[in-house]
Amino acid sequence: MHQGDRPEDDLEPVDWDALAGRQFRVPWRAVVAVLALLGLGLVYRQASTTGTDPLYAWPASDLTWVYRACVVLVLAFGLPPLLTNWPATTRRGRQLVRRPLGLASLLVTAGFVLGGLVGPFLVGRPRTHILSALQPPVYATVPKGTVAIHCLGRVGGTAIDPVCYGTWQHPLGTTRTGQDLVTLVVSGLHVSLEVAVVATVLMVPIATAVGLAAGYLGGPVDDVLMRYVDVQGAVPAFVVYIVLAFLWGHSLLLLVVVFGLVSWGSLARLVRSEAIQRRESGYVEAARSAGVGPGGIVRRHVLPNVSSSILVGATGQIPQLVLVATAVTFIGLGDVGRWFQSFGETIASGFGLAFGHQPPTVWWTWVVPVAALAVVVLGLLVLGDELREVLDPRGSW
Amino acid sequence: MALLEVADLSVRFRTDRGTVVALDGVDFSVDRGETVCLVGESGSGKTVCCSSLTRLLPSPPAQVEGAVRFDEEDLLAASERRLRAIRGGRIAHVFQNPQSALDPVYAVGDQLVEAMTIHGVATGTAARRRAVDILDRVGIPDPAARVDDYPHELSGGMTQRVVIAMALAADPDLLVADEPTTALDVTTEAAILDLLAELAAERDLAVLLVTHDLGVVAGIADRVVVLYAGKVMERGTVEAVFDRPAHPYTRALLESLPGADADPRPIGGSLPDPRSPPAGCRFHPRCRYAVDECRDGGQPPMHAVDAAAATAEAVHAASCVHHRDAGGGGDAPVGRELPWLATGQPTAEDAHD
Repeated sequence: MHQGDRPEDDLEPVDWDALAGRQFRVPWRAVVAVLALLGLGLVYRQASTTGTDPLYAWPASDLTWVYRACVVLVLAFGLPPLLTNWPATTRRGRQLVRRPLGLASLLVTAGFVLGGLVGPFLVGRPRTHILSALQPPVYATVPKGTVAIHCLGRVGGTAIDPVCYGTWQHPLGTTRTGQDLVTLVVSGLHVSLEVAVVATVLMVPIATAVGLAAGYLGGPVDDVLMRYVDVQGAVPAFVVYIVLAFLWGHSLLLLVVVFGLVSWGSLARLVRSEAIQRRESGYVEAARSAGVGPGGIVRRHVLPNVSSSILVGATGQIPQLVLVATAVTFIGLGDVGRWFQSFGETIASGFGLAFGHQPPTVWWTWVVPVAALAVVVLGLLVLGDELREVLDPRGSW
Repeated sequence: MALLEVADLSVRFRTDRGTVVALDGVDFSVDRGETVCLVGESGSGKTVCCSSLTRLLPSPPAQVEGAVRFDEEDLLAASERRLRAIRGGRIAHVFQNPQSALDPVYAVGDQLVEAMTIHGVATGTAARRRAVDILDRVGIPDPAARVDDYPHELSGGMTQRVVIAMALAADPDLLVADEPTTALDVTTEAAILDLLAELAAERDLAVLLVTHDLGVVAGIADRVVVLYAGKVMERGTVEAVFDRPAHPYTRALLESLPGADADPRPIGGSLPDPRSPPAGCRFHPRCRYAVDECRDGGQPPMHAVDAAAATAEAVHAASCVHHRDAGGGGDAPVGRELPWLATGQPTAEDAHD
């Protein structure tokens, strides 16, 4: 069964005097992330001085730059663990897609992410074209002359009540200003993605650090941190945004930053309760008895074991953020003049009565963005639930 | 000088419902290369004793007093940094439940490598090679493949071997094993005990094994320390304690084993309330041989049972009033009160192996 009988099978004796100090390991991930961010900073400088953009044919907004930096961070820190632990990732992935809701929500979320990520390159940004105003979606009709002044599609009906048919040129129809709704939906997905990514990248590290410190260290540290979280929770992020927008002007970037810095409280509480549970577990005790210090224990044993809860908690926060951003832009407190329209703006203009048309007549101008938003939000919520089911380590393998 | 010397170790826990005395003035020692078993019922303070050696008990609720001298260094007075170097590096722990001692999100090899990296033994590929070697040494079949397995993929016996491997990764001098085989089936238990004995012999490793199972004690121990309600009742070499148990509690423990000769006799009553231990000898409420003297005056000091001991550690002593005069000669009037010692008959044979 084993071969420890022969002397040469024994392990070499350890020369304790020769070994001194701790080994220093280069944090490669952090180095790569810093270099990538520096590179991005250079590109930003170049772009802002020349007024161009490396990816788009138009200058990108501040939110977009922050979003790009956050994408770098997510790829640098979020992707390697998934890749190094590939068997576990695929196992969980398979468990997720075996559940019908899991598969559906995963597809919706993938559509959201892909649409927001690459959609703008495929469909461009929304352009106004007044001659194409208020075209109905394909297979739908609308009275010509009263609603659709010009008709790009077939004209039917009678001479007294001509109707305009939708075309595949604008499958989901157009708005009052002739903007294609497919492009607007993609634009809305893009803005929502930016909001989600930036706010999450702000919230998750703060909530994790605070939650782990409070949960593992306990005592006065826990008391102080949690009292602060309580106080912060009493201040609505929306109000903070309104006040700051008054000082610094409305912008989606400000909204997202405010939310990221002010709404991490519930996630921190979740991390804290998970940390408290893990603190009492056998492997933490074993690690302590092997001489690992508190920093090492939190980093190597507590954090990986609570990471799945963090993921579930974060995916639960994202739909809320998207809805709040939509609400803020709906009532006009978001950016003005951005190249990309958010869902809120699209829905607001769809609801507007500026041209005297009742919303039900031009139903597609607001039903389409509302439906798109609802599908995305629902997909994210359900994905959060399904992930919780699949990732619970106390469940079956 | 013994490798580990515990002197007058007391551990108290302050709770809302009173102070719980888990250990009250415990003394024992462990020499290099010897295996000492700490025996006692559940609740006797064995686990608290193990955890307090390297100050693993969280100190605000626990108050630890006394002295724990490891290689002439007082661990109770050492700094936290020094303790972290000693934990794992010189004193290693093996816990009762192997599955919970391993982090479920790491492969087995990673945890071995962590134990080695912390104490500067090896890093990187050298550490991984050494991990495979250690796994082979503790008897894991096909260690090169097993090193990437996760804890839930291993059986109980294999997991405990891995935990032992982790404990040995940094080449410690003392292994503290808290009921390492309680969660395993008998066959695996025998194999694990054999493994521990071999490792102890080949590395001159001192082992402090905590258990409630006297069969385990008989199989592996050089010396025995019997604990009851936070105090030492008897100590001595395993032959002396099993052949001629000096304390009624030890005798009762041996009698409660199922064996060939007689039906097992459980010890009536239960452990005293740790918040208010009985005055006098802790065991007297359950003792068949208790006399008036046992009821007050605190726990009797450890009286030597036979004076002809080779070394200080080999002294067979018991904390019982019936041995109070037995120090000088061998024919003290002990026999009257403790009949089994008078007749000279050995106790239940089944206590051996």
